[in-house]
Amino acid sequence: MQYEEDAQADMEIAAPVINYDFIEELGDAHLSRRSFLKWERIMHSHGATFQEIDTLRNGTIERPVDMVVYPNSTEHCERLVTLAVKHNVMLVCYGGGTNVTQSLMIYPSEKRMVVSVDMARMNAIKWVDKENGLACVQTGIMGQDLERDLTPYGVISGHEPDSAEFSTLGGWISTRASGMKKNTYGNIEDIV
Amino acid sequence: MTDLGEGKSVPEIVDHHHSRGIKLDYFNKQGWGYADSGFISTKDKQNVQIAGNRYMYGGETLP
Repeated sequence: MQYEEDAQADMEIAAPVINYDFIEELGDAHLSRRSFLKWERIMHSHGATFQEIDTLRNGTIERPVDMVVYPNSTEHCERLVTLAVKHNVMLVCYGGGTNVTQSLMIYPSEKRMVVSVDMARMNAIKWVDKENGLACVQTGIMGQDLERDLTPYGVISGHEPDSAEFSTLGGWISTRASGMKKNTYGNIEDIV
Repeated sequence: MTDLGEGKSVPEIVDHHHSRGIKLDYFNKQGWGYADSGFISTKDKQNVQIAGNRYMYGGETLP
């Protein structure tokens, strides 16, 4: 709807906390994308609660993530975790950003470098075993894409939260999501 | 460039698969849904138009 008052034109956030040793060893080659872009950092620092949407329109995110990375393979993810442990960097997995549980809010007191790991570029169905009702799917796939891409196999995921247009398989698992087909297929923990 | 301190810096963005895009390209950065979708009330506030073309009634005016 058109609101009586428009949202703020821009948002100022703190400069990113930099862990130089981590960034230097991480490099650029073993990632699909790496970004310090301000609005990309903002987008990866909130979910979809009323409080968070109000902050986007009128306030500022007190503790945004410092960098956003997009892995493209399991090896990328393993390397990220190894280096984060080595250099004391905090990783936050990002799916669709649709949670209403404040799952992406960072404590303002967090002093470590915080890196958002966006799984959007790992969104493929690896295989489907229709006979046994199994599928191997990468976690970054969005709900609407999952259902569309399962259609040729003649199967469905059995999970359909209201946010399925934008939320992801990995997000469903990490937030223990429920959906409208729960009474038949169970919650996500019953499906995985 | 992003300043790393001690006189060192790195590019603000490195993207090896630029064609794949990012969520910021299409999502409403200050709310929910697609950036080009929404409801617009007509000046007389009697009708509502659905902006964008991602949904069935996109671009149409609804009474």
